[in-house]
Amino acid sequence: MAKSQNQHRKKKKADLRASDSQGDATESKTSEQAGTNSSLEASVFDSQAIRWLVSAALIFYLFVLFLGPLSNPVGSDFLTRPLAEFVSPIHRAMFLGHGYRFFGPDPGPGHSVVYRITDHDGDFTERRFPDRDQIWPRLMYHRWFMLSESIFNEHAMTPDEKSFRETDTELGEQVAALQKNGKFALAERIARERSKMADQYRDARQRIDERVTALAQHLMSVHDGKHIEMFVQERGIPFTVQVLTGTEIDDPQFLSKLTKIGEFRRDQQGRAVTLELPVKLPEVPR
Amino acid sequence: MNSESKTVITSGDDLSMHSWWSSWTRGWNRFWFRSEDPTTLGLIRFLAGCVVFYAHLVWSSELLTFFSNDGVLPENYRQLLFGNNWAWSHFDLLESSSAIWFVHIVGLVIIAMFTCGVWTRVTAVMTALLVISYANRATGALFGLDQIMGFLCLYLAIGNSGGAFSVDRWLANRRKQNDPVGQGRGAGQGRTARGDVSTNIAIRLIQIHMCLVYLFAGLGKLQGETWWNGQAIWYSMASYEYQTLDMTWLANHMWFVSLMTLVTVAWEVSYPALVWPRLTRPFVLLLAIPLHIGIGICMGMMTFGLIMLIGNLAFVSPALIRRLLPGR
Repeated sequence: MAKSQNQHRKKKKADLRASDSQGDATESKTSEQAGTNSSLEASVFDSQAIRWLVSAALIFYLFVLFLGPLSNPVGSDFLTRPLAEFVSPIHRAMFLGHGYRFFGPDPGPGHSVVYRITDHDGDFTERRFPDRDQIWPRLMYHRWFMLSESIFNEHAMTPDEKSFRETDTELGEQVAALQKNGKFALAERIARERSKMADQYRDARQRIDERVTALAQHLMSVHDGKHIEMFVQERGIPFTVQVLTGTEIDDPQFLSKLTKIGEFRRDQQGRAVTLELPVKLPEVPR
Repeated sequence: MNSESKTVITSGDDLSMHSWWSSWTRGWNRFWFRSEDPTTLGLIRFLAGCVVFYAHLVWSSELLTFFSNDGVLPENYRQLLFGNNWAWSHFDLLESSSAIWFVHIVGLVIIAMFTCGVWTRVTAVMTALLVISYANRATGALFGLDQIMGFLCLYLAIGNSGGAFSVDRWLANRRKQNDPVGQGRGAGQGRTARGDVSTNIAIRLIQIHMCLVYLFAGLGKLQGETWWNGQAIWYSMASYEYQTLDMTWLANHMWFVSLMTLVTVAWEVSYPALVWPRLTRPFVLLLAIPLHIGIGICMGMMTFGLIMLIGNLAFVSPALIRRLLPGR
């Protein structure tokens, strides 16, 4: 019986050696080819405690890494998003947490910022960015393109004031009805959601306003303008049949109506001052 | 007759659990804690460094537009977007234009040193911090290129990315030539530094992260209609803002457009599974070339195409690189 156990152990060792030599994903040379580890390197990673520590760090890091695309742009409000919020300091500090949804779910239309600027001589011009003919090199053009895309997306994803107020009022009525029926826990949960939504809306509005104001200020400074109106515009993508019948992809028929995002004048200090009425956001009880 | 020997009797279940755990830990150790030749990582460092340097050099043409407090990106934009202050940037500490320019030029010098492999252990860490800092400050004007540069530089700072294709290595070789015993610091096999575990960890992280990128890029596409009906590549090439090379003549050959569309999404979704086995890895890596070069040439995102190809290099063995690039 001892002999068979020994044979069993020898067989197991042989199996292990065989599986070790199969290699794995990379055909990397091991220490014989690459030279032996430095003595310090060898002693550090030979320690079981160090391996456990590094392994724990790697597992945690991979958990943080995967949370990014699992929570962004879409994620579970009950699992991945709360977890991602918990690790968001790591995501932000290490520039992780991205969704990697390149050209997904579908390649979409392009978006530009169109601006009408009046200079101090009273001359009026309409320009747009990104402009393939004006901005070079291509990477800088792409930066302006991403700028216009993100401005459009911010506007498109943020409801207008009227829609926000309607939703806010509805939630307020729900909370009141639940409290009246004695369902206090549920009422509190909806009240918290309502408050969170209001905070997010406030931040979004402030974000958009500051971005558009900064952009207006920059454009007026560059073009020596005293007044500027700014719009976003979508350019659709032609169908194959349209291209086959001779329509160019930059044909104006693919341009949408201009959607206004701001109007400003330049004050004496060179700052952009909005000419639109400020949005008064409702106070939401916390 | 054999003498009686004590036999430890254990249940069959305990043995299989124990052997399962043993083989699992062995596999884990083999995957993460083996010594790795830095040739692949060194090449990634050099090539990625070139792209990183170019990408940051391009900011120079409109540096103050994007990075000053009077530019198009308000300073507190990130804080309002993320709801916290963790998206740090060294540009937040800079007020004047001259300070921004000075720090930018210093940053370019550091990235150039990193690319060439000068004081790599230090410049790699600094480059990673710079890439993250620039990206955080330029939130609102970013795209895939920045995301890939970010994690590549992070991992290049972990491993011995200066162990090959570097000035550090060249200097170490010269020291070795002058040191007959060959025990100088950094001495290794020929013109490559010794293999080490940190290099292996860095390569593994690049590999896993590339799999993550392709998996979710592919899964995201599966949610869209045009990736299923074969039209997605058409919508990419017929976009005026993206178009660099007019490929709309392919409207006459929509079967080919559909093929490219379906191959793209199938390749991305299957990448994490098929890139690891030796049998399928060459095909997966070879397909990456036309995909990313196509994006670069036809859609004007050459830097993005290149950085993705550079990331894919993590799956190319040091031995193959040494065969392809002798005398480096």
